[in-house]
Amino acid sequence: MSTFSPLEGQHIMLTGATGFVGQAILEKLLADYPTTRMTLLIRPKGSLTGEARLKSLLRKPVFSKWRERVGQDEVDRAMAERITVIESSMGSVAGLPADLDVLIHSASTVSFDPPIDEAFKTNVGGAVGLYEALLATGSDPHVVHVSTAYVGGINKGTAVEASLKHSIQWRDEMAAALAARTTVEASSRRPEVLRKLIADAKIDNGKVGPHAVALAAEAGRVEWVTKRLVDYGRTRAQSVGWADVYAFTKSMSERVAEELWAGNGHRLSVVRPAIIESALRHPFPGWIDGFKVADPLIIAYGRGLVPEFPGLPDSILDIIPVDIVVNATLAVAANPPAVDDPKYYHLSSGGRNPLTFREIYENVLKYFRANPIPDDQRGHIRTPYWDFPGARAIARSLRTGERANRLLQRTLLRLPSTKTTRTFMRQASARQTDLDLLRAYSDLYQNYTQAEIIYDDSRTAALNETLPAGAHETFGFDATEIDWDHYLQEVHFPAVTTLMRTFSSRPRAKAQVEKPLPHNPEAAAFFDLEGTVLASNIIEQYLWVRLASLDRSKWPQELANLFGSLPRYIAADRRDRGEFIRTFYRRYEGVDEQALKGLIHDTVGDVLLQRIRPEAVRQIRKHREAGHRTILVTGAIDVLVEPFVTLFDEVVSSHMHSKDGIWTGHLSKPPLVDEARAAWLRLYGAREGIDLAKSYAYGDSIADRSWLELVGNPQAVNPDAALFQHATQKHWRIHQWSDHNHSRIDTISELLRGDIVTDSTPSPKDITHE
Amino acid sequence: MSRPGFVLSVDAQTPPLVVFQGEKVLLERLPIDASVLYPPEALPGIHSLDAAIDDALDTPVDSDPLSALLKRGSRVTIVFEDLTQPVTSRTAPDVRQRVIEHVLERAAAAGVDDVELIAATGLRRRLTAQDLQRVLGERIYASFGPDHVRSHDAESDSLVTVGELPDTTPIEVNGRVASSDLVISVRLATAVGNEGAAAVATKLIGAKTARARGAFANRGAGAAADTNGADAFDGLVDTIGDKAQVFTIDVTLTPEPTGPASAFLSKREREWSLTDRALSAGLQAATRILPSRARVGLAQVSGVGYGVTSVVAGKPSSVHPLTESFLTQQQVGQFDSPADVALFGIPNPGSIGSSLNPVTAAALGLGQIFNGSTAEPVVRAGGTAIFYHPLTPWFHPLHDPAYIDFFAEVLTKTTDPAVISAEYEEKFAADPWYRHVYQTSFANHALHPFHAWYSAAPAIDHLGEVIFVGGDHEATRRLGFKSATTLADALEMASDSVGLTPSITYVHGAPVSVPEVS
Amino acid sequence: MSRLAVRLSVTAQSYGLEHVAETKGPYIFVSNHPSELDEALVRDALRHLSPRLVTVAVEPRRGIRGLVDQALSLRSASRLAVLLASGTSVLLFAEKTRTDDGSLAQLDLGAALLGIRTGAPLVPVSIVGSYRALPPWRTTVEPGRPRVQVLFGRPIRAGVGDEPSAVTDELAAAISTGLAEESRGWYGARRSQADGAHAPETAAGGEAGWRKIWKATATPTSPSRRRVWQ
Repeated sequence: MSTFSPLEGQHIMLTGATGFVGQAILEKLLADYPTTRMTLLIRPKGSLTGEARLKSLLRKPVFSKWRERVGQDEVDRAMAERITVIESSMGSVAGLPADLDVLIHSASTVSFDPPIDEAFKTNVGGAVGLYEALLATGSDPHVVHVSTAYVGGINKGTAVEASLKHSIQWRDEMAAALAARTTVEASSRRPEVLRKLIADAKIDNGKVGPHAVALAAEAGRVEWVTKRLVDYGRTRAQSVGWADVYAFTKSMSERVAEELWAGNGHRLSVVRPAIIESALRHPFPGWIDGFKVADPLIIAYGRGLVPEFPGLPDSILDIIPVDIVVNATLAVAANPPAVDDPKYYHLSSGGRNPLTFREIYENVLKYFRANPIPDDQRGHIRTPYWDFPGARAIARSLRTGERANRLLQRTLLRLPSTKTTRTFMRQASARQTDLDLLRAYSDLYQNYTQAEIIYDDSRTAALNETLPAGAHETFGFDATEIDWDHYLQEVHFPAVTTLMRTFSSRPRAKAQVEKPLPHNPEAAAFFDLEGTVLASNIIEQYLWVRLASLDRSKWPQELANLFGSLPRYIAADRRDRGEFIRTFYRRYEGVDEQALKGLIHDTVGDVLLQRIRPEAVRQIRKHREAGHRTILVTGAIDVLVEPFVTLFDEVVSSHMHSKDGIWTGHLSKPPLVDEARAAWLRLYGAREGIDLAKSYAYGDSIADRSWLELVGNPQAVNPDAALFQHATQKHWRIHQWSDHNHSRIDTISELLRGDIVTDSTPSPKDITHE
Repeated sequence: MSRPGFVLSVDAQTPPLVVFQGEKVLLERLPIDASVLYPPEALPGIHSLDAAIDDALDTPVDSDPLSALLKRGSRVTIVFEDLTQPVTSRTAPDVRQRVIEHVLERAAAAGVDDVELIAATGLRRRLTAQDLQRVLGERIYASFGPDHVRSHDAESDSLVTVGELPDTTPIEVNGRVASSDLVISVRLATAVGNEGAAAVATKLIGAKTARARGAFANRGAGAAADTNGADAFDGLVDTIGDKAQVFTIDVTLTPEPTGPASAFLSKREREWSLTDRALSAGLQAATRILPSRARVGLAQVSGVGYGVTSVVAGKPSSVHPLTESFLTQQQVGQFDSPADVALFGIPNPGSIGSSLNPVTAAALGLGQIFNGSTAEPVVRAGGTAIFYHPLTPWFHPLHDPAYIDFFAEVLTKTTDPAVISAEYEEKFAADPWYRHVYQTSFANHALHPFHAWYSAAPAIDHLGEVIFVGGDHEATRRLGFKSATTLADALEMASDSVGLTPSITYVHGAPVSVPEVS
Repeated sequence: MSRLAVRLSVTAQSYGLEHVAETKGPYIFVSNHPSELDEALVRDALRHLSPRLVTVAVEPRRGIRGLVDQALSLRSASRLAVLLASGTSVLLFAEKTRTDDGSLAQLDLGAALLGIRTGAPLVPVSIVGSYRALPPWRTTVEPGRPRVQVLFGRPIRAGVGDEPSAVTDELAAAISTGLAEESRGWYGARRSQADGAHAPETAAGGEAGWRKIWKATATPTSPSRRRVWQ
């Protein structure tokens, strides 16, 4: 290698050093360009300063080989002496050094479909800010602008290494993109839009309470705005001939570079890499940082999620390993062009060493047949065979699948919660995620895989030829030397699947071992009654009381009446639990409170006691032993809760308004349900000095969510589908307590025998004095 | 004297035999050379109960006639036993009702106004109003209303101390009983069983006393503990406390088929007529087709009731030995030697909709080893006992809250009675919720499952293995036993300890109820 | 009235059958006679125990039935004795006259004589509630299936040397005790009897007729469910 030392002693500025390509460039400079100095533009993130970010950057695996080679001390020295960090964001670049030799601009957005304003701000606005700051310093570095091959747009045929030919004005587009946000934000506040969002929020969160609905509606609006702006971006890009807003904005940023830099008499080179994938050799084969464009598809295929794919078998997928990109970029940086003659370089493989879709597919198939991904349950995933039926067929089957799954989910949410429905729910959610992924790939990859465009990279090849012999090993960037089979099978796929295996393999949740509860006199345990402690509901309780106090002959009439009113009650319950309780308790109009107390004491109390869940009693006992205060909070009437009073330290229940000992059918204060209960809990905790963060709460339906969230240890008991979803997301403890095993028929037969008030037959003592 | 019990030796011609398995009735073919112990045939019941009761009350043993003991203005308490099995055929009034009617007629004639009736439930649950009406009859229940008819409350505040156990725990008995002038105790004893302790006061003690008396440490292999406890209660046989004099009326019962459908169940299979065979086939078919709930009802319809064989009244210490000797006549005769393997069938009790919970069923079954129908255990030490019961983990939600927790919390940790006694008994005994539901609702006392488990302990020690045929796998495991699907499998399992050709004895018929668990 | 009609129109309860079942039949049933339902009620109650039953009332029956009785000469003691010997039980309404207020009138000595002569057990029967169900001024039973009770007492065996009047007194006392159960309960009725509180009403002759009818037709406090909803 003798004296080949490009970029000798030069001062290089690098933007986007934290990105995939940026890291690699930095690493290459540190490792193989020992005389260079770097200035990095790093944006502080949160509480991390630019310096801190650099430090953590240097710990990443890309630098590991270099660190092994030179030792930690050298790394520290390099960091101190060779690297300077400028903290700035793209929008406001301040204080660029005046002695730059090269500027490599590789910062850009990471996602394909960002909202249009974000895309423009980062890709275009960032470039504008950078170049303007550079102009302000008055220096004259060689700028290497890292773009992307896909700025060529949706075309057919060969793309040449030259400036883009289109007439789109970047300033207009930028202004329009930024204005789009204002427009869309305003549009999202229109009543029509908001009404639909509120309705959707109510369906999912109505039972939790009004506050939750409001939060969900606003979150929905923000989501709507984002979606709309993404749509703006994609559609605008497609309308002017690009695949997506990324390619569109990157092409705009090329125009910016041409106009602001080259147009002002400076030297500009533009490199356009294709799809950048894992390294072929440097720093080590298979190095990659996160998933890139083609990888999710590969993995999805390996997981058996992609039964078919919309792609033409002989279309070319242009993949280029990152170390070739890095070498090429640095070679370009070392060969500046003339002042007003910017040079363009394609970094791709499709020109001289194309990789067809069918070849990729065959390699993927071969690889995953040999190294299948282990299935969640057992065995391995069998990867499907592809037939390439065409885009339309695929789209159709995708649509049907999505519709079916959505319907299934909607149905399940309405059904009562049992073990079976919960399993289905889980499966449906998993399937939904898969379908969403598939839809995303489908939309995204359509353009890449159906493209029939070839990127000519002759200039790059020529540049490669200029390297001295012997330097090719370290500095070469020849796409023709890639052996695709070797690269895919031995380098890329293993790297990608290792990444995936680390992500997806989670240790199976171990069986919960029951530990005794921590002792804490300031903690409390709040229990809901219906469905949690008692396997019954207020309608059933009413029924027992009513039947016990009516003659048998009147039962059919009463039952018919009740069943006739059920739809009304169910509707009210769906709207608002408080409303349901109020409506239902009207049936208690005319009750003699003393007589009811007597009835509960003699007969119905035992019926209710039969429905207690033994696990609940055990749990309450555990809390008592741990010194926690046990509190029952329920919407049921206090007279009906009487049999359970001894179980708890405190009972809070509804109270009926009575006049002269007869109930009027109205409650004496609003029932404590949903968010009212949450408010009460907060107040109670403050008043009684309870440490809510250490307390426990047990509930069973989605309506309980608001007050369950207030305590530090919320527990779901036999949750319904919606609460189950929520609980699994938030990692709450879910209990399965047995449903009572005393059938309702037995209860009714006991009530049939009924509460006979024994006659006033005088006792023997009374008779003698008659 | 009726036909005594006999031992059948199974050969190739023996038809399949009736075996109770919870709510099912199976017909099992036993291996050749097994022995089957048939209980003695039912003694004819007394035809004229009125006359017999009159006789007993007018000429009691070692006591003045009852009419003489009842005086105007005296405080009388009638204490009657609570066996949860139905005590007579469904149509005729309960035996206790008949006896108490006679007693009350004499009391009315004598001018007694202060009468109370107390069910000697011990640690069992209170009797509901329906239960009491069934036992006493509508008219007596209506006369004494809900106020003067009660079940014994072991946790009551009004218990009175009348003595002391050897370990200095005071003996507390029911307050009303201790403060009465005359306590008339109506006791029942099923044939082929025993009557329990001589003193009726053992069923009227408070919870603390019951706990001390039934503590595992105090139980030996049956005999030693009895003398221990019996010593303390000897002074309570004839008088309780200072003034309460006890007058006992002992009634011995014999099983009687209640309906034509069940007659064949107690007959020896060899002697089944054609009708019996048809009925049996019908029962088999019905058992297979009907769902479990209906099966339970079926067993009740074809169940077994009781008839009365003798009525003796008088001073308890004199009457008790008479009753005991009368009963021993009913036991099965001698058999040659204890077998390696013993088979028992366990039916469900009579009331519709209830089946035995696993702990009670196991205790009932194991109780047959030492307290069963034979004087000596039918199985040798270290042998295997095979029971037929599904052991479904079903517990009555109202009656058995302590059992549910016992099964779920205590038995999952250990089945060793010594450990259970040391670590869990205190917690259960002191728990306020159990006390609340025992006193105000109809739950068994919290100590009940413990005593049931302790009563089974001697049998478990004696046996090498315990296998349940048809038992729910998880429940059987938790109790510490094994479960098998068929008899052949069970014998296969047992072959490890008893060998491939063990001597087998099957005890035919329903088990005798053990006092602690009935 | 036929047995089926009785069963449909009233709720009949019978007690004390076990005393009858344990004694060997045939029996002489001695009953009070408050209403026309009585014969059918007793027949219905005894349908398992004593299928063959003949009814005789001390007060002669009117009309066609009376003629039938005369034809069969049921009212002669010897005829009845023959019937008993052949195994047919006899139901005797032994009140000398039927009161029109449902209370118990004085008993004729004929029942006791028959019992002494044949040695058959005398079973006192009290019928409670049938006066209210079918009082003399009604042709049909009161609607609502009123409760009627048939109470069988302990059989009395009259020996040859017994005094008829003593036996008759015993029978009357037994029937009155049964009648008193309605107001005083089972135990209370026996206590009152022991204390001598009730002698046959006619002897006292105290209360006015209308008051007796009023008491007899009072709606009984039948056990009902507790009323919670007012």
